[in-house]
Parts: sequence; structure tokens; C-alpha cells
Amino acid sequence: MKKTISINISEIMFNIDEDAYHKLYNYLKTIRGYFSSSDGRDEIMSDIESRIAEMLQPKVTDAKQVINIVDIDEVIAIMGEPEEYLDDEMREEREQRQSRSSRQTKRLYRDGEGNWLGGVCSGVGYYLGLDPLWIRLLLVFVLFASFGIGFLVYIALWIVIPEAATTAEKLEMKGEPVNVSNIGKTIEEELENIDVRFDRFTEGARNFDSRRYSKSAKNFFESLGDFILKVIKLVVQVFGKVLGGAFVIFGIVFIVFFILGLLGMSNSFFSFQQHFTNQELGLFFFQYESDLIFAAIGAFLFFGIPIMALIYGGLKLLLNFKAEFRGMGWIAAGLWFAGLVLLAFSGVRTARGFAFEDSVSETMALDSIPSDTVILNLGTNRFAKGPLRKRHLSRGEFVRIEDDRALISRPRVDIVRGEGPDFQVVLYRVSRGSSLQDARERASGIEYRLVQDGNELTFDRFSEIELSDQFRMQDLYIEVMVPNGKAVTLTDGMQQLTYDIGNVQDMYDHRMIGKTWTMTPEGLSCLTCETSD
Amino acid sequence: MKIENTKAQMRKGILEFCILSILAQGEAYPSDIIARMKEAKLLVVEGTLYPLLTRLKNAGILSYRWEESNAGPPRKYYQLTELGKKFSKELESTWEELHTAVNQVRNNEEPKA
Repeated sequence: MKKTISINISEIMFNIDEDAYHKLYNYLKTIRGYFSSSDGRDEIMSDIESRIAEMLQPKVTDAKQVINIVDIDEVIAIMGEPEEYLDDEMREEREQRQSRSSRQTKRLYRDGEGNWLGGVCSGVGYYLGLDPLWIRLLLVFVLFASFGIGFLVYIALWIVIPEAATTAEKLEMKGEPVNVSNIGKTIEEELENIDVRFDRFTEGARNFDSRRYSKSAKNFFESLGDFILKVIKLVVQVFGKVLGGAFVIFGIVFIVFFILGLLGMSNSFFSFQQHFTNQELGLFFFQYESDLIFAAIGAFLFFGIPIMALIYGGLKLLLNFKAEFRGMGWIAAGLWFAGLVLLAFSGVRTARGFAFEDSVSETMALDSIPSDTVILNLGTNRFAKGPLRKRHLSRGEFVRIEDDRALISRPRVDIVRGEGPDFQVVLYRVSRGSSLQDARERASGIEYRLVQDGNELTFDRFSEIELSDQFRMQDLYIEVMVPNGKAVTLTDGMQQLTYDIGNVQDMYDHRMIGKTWTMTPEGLSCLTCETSD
Repeated sequence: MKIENTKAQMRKGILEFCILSILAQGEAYPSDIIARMKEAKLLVVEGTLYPLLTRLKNAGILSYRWEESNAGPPRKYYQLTELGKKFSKELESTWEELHTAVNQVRNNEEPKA
């Protein structure tokens, strides 16, 4: 005695043996897997089923009321094996699709057949090449150790790891090469799966076979889990689109700003653009005009290519297109490398302009000073009006004024012991250049203003150069030489120019302000400090 | 050289042409088409036909109408569209040309006037 199943093929009802049913079901499922919806799969399947129904009808008589497996075999013989369904053109397409997707490496799947619960341990066992028993022991151990929180991890893995449902996936899970037809998974298939398993589940309930019952129940929940997995995959795909969009937007914004910056139209990139246009900046800095162009192009390629790759990746995520121009990756890499070379080239050439450093010193001619004390003042900020108001020029910052001059850096003032009987001020102008002589010439181009009024010396806040002299890390050191027994007074503001003036009281510069210091054999000593200082 | 590939190359397109030719002679059910082609030993299994028919229909070369049948489910009755008729004629002439050309090459025949 055998069990029969009642089926509907093309709106005709048949009773069919259980084993014949499975054979027919798998046959149809395999064929279905060959076609994508673009091939008109649904229509093809319904045509096929209609023909099968036509063929099966004559096989049912009063004497033989049920379709059996022999009937199905006959049908398959007439219709053909699934592989034969493909005409050569479609077979090529499929083979192309397959060769793109089949891989020979082992992948992590859940095992739907040898499983205890969700097949997680079994699948992991396959992947690692271990007996799942060890994995399960490990799992139990983890469950205990984590007070059951590990169970959540197991559920998460259950949801995330796909089950090896198709023959191809099962082979992949075990790490064997895939040479059987690969069946594309669709949500429809999954739902079908759930249907079938639910049927088995309800059958099991009806038959009161407790073992079958639990397995079918398990299968049902598994299918449910798979469905949830599909939903999660969908969410991830959506997220992928969002991410893609973000990439694209970010990349485009970046490139736009970069280009604008290069053209000198945007302020956002370089702070010294507030005072120079980019063109002038380039000429100011680079040794040769061509270096400016090289560096600009180089920078654009070097930064731009990765950004554009980002945009491209973002677009791919967003629009899901697979078009890839052969060799584009190579072209991009080549351009990027060219950008790197350009940057390096212009960088090296420019660096040669900074290779040497030299200084010139000048002892300033001072009118005779009527007193034993010299007062050091900070000059007014001549550029207090306009955009430079309240501007503190730190070392290395440079600023342009008028058409042909540039301000660079602050001079550094130091107070040292003078050998002779008189006060002296020595200026050390330092610059870099492409040779010692070049450095010296540029150094002499540093202009500085120091005003003497009786015993008051007023120091300018900034030193200047002509724009055409170019930026070459010019610097200015000023030594105020005070003979033993004579004194200096520092007024407010001088702390901007001084840098740790050595003194006997070991006071910080800003504390030295407003006091008079006399030069002693030990060093500068405070004259007007209270002893409690 | 794989003989299978070459054979497949040769058969490509012929199946479609034959379907069009059969339908050029009149409307037909899929089972009729299959029977004719089996007679001519062009087809071995029926399964090959259905995807082909659907593809041709999707391309607008064939169309069908449903016919009720008392002894079973309703069946599709295929026919050529205007486009299909045009295609069929073109394929016919191509077939003639090929046929002549191949024979000439094989037998060193003089080309027919």
C-alpha cells in the first residue's frame, strides 16, 4: 500500500504516488531553475505543465486511478531531460552565467541535511573540515559560559548564514568543485519551499508521527528563518544603495571643491588663499613656473583618481550596473601613478630650491644712546586695518600686502651680552636657496624696519620681502647686545618677538615685561623686580 | 575542435527556421509542430520546443490564441505575425542561398543559373 498525493497540473487534478510526486516535482523545479524571468519562465513552465497534463490524462483509467513513477518516467522520456530543454543559445548564456558564478572554494553554508537544529554547527564543521560533534560541544560550552547569551549568537548565525539548498551550494559547502547546474534562488522559490515544508508539516501532524512531526516543524521554522534571511538581505541591499549614494555625493562634492580650489576660486582649501590667488601662490613658492602646473595636475590625479574610484563604486552600488570597461582599472591606476610621479617630480625640483640655508648678518648703525638703559618697544601693527586686523602672524605664515610685497614671519629678538662698551643690534637674515650663494642673495632681500628714538628702539612686527624674491623659509633673528652694567626695559608687546630670553631669575618672557633688566656677568638680572617675584 | 560545438553551430537557427516554416503553412498546436519535427527527425525531445516558442512569441514573431478542448486543458494555437511572415521569407531565401553555396563547395557544381 502506498500513500498518494493530490496535485493540480494546469488546472487538472491528479492523484499521484508519493515517490512519483517527488520525482515530478524535482523535475519541474530543475527546469524552472534554468530560466530566468526574462526568458519568460512562467509562461514556459505553464506550457510545459499543460503538455504534461495532456500526456498524463490518458494514463488514468478506472483500473489505474493513480499516476505512478513509471508514468512520470515516460513523460520525462518524451519531454526530455532538463538539460535538453536548453537550445544551444540559451545553453551558452547559462554556461556564461555559470562560469562567472561558480567557484571552487569552500563557502560557509548551513547544512540542511545533517543538521540537529539549524545546521549551523554542521555547516561550520564542513567549512573547517571538522566533525560537527566538536563544534556542537564547543557550542554547548559557549552557551554555558555566556549564560545563554551565546544562544543569541547562534540565532544570529542561523539567520545570517545561508542554507545550502541547491545541489551546487551543497557542493560548495563541502568544498567540492561545482559542475552541476546552478539553480538561481528567488524569493518565489523560497516561498514555494515554505509551502512544501508546511505541507509536510501538516501531513506529519495528521499522521501523528512524532519524529516526522518534529523534523517537519523544524523544517518549517528553518524555512521561516530563510525567509527572514531574505528580508535581511533586502535591507542590506537597500543599505548598499544608500551607501552608494553617499559615496557618489561625497566624491562629487570633493572633486568640485578641489577643482575650484585649483582654479583659485574657492577659499576653503588653503588658508593662505585669503591673501594670494592660487596663481600667485604657485609662483611665489615654486622654483619654476612649470612646476606649478605639474604639481597642480599631479595633485589632481593623485587625489582625484581615488575619489573618482569612490564615486564609481558608489554609482555601482547605487544603480547596480555591472558594466565594466576592460582595462579601466589599469588606466585609472596608471593615471594615479602618473599623478604621483608628477607630484614627486615637481616636489623634488622645488625642494632643490630649498636645499641650502645661509645667513647674512648686519650690525645696525645706532645713533649714540644717551642713557644706560634702552627701552624696547613693539611697533604698531601697520596692518591693523583691513582683513589683517587682529591678525597674529605665526611663524611660517605669510601674507601679501600691496602688489609686490609679502610679509613673512616675525623676527625673533634675543638679548645677549655685548662685548663692547655700547649697545648694539645685530640682524641675522636667514634664507634657503638652491645654492649657498642663492640663499645668501635671498637672505639679503629680507627687509626690516627698526626705529630708534633716543634710547627707545621700536621693532617692527614683521619682516618683509618682495614677492618676486619668493618664499624660501626666510627668517630674521635680532640680537640686542647689552654691555655689562647697562640695562634694557621690555615694554608690553615685546613678548611677541622674544623667545625665552635667558635671565638670572629664570623668568618667563611674559613675566619679564614691564621690568628693567641689567646685564651682569651672570646674565640678565632683574632690576625692578620685587624680591618676592 | 569539438565536434559537438560544430554540430551545435550547424543546428543553431535551424530549429527556429523550421518552426517558422511549419507555421507559415498554417496555424498549429505545439504538439502538431512537435509531431512534424519528429517526423523529420529534427527534434528528439519535446522540452526543447516550449522555451523556443515562448522566445519567438516574446520577440513578436509568433502569436497564439487559446482553444478550448473537451479532452483536457485549453491549448495554445500558434500562428505567424506579420513580422514572423517577413522573417520566414527572409530565412527561406537565406536557406536557399546557403543550400546552394554548400552544395557547390561540396560537389564543385556549377552555380544554377
